[in-house]
Amino acid sequence: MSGVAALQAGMVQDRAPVLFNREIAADHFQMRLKAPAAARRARPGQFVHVLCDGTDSCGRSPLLRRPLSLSDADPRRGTIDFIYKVVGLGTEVLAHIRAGEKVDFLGPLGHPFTPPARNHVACLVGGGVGIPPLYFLAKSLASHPAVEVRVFLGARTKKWVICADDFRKLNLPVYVATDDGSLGYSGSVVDLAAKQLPANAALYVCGPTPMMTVAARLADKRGIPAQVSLEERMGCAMGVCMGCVVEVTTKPIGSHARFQRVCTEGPVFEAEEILWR
Amino acid sequence: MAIDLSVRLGKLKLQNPVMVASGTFGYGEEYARLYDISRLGAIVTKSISLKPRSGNPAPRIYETASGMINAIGLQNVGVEAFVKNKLPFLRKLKGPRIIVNLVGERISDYVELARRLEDAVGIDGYELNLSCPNCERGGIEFGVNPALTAEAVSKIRKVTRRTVIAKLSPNVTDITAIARAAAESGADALSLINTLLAIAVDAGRWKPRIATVTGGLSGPAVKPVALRMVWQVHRALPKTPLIGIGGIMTAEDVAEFLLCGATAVQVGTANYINPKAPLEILSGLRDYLRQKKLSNPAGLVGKLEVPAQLRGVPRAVAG
Repeated sequence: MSGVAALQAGMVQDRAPVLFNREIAADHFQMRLKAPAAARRARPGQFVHVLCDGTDSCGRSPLLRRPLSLSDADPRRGTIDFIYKVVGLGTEVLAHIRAGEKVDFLGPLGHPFTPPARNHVACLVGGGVGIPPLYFLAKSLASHPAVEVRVFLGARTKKWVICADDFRKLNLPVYVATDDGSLGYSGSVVDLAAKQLPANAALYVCGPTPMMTVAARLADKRGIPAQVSLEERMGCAMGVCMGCVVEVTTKPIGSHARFQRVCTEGPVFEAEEILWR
Repeated sequence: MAIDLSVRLGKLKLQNPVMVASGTFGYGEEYARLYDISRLGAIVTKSISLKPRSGNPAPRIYETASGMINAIGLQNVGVEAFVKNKLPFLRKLKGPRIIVNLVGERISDYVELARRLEDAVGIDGYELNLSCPNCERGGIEFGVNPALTAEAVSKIRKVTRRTVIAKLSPNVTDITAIARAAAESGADALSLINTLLAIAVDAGRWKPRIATVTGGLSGPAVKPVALRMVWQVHRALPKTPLIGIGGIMTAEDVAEFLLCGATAVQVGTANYINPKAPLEILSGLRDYLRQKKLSNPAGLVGKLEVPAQLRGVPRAVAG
């Protein structure tokens, strides 16, 4: 069984109690579920596929589940966390769920981040709602004293730079950029990171696609390894529906593997595998 | 009263009427991690083509009100890899019938696919996906034209004794004409409906939500259309076994399809939302039959009570 298949085999479907679902920044919510089996198996970069059960103010209900990257997992307490921004019907309904209610999810799913090779400095570059999965990665890497970690966070404006204090509590250096200059460096987080990357950097990138595209080009130019965590609309999230694909450069054009599944071969890919447009 | 859920599609006996629809269940292995899939009535595989297909660019799916639009583009491993890598798992399942969904760009592709699969053990039948553009005749779908449908079905009929099911497209003026063409050409059963051609629009960016612009609408949104078409085809062809497809989420949905004339059903989009939906439907169907004092699902087929002037077989529309 391949590594991916082995991880997917550890997936569960569970109806988990919500411990809290709180607004941590404007339009951003953090939900914690009591889900011991998933918490034991979860790896940074993996996600859960969540049933958003409810209706919005117009009486509309989401049909499909929504994929949400894990921002933390605590095997000891048996909890998993994810952070989401209210952007549409699914996340709007999710934001109305209260502590004590139950949430149906599938997971953990997907191919996780791979730790850096020896003597590399892990440089985590997160944009907006792409920041939270990098917190899970940072926590995991910070528990290995031999791995050096630096964190670069960006958002459009100050109020959307989420989780910065959580990274600082891990005693990691945190550098912040905002598009409007309201906090830290004024400009893109990739530009900020580019100025400070050591030659032995290993990039870990999660954020909007344009940002990841720029980061992938940077990594290519400098000849440094980069892993990206992609986002795509999903149907089943189990590798069945082929809905959430991304085009890769590593397989021949016209082959059935030219389009790989973000839910199964991803969401984490090597940046150089992806056909960036 | 002992309840026997088994049903017959022509000569093929299913342990129950709950099948899973092509493209929503892969080749079975993924869902087998979540539940005992040997309890299903039948598994219809993802469409198989002669050569591997890479499918369409992303985005391929988009959620709409009570439904979803997809344009996957028939991405699949091709018939050789299917027989080598996917069929061995399906063959081991004792309960469900294994139906291989075939797709081709010309009629000879379907015939060639059936020929290549004839020697493979563990296949109970073929479902023909006739909703693929026909390369030889200017991209028209086989399934929207009665003559092309008849030609495809009769040519496959000649190369196999296995059950042949024609999957009908709803994107036609008169589905009963296509259904009759398929049935008279030797199809053992008809499955209906495939997805409805649809568009979703991003008003903010003035762009389609799906890379190929149009896609197929599925889910509860299409159920009333599917019920109507099953009812129309059953009325026109009361002896042809029908497999109802379209937004089935619950046992009550199944009962509705059976009442309209379906002998069996396929669960599709529901697999994505509630992976265990087929099992919940099975136990719900058992309860429903018990409550209605029926011992077998066949007791429901075509029992929708309609006004007297709508009973019986309508005469074929002239022309």
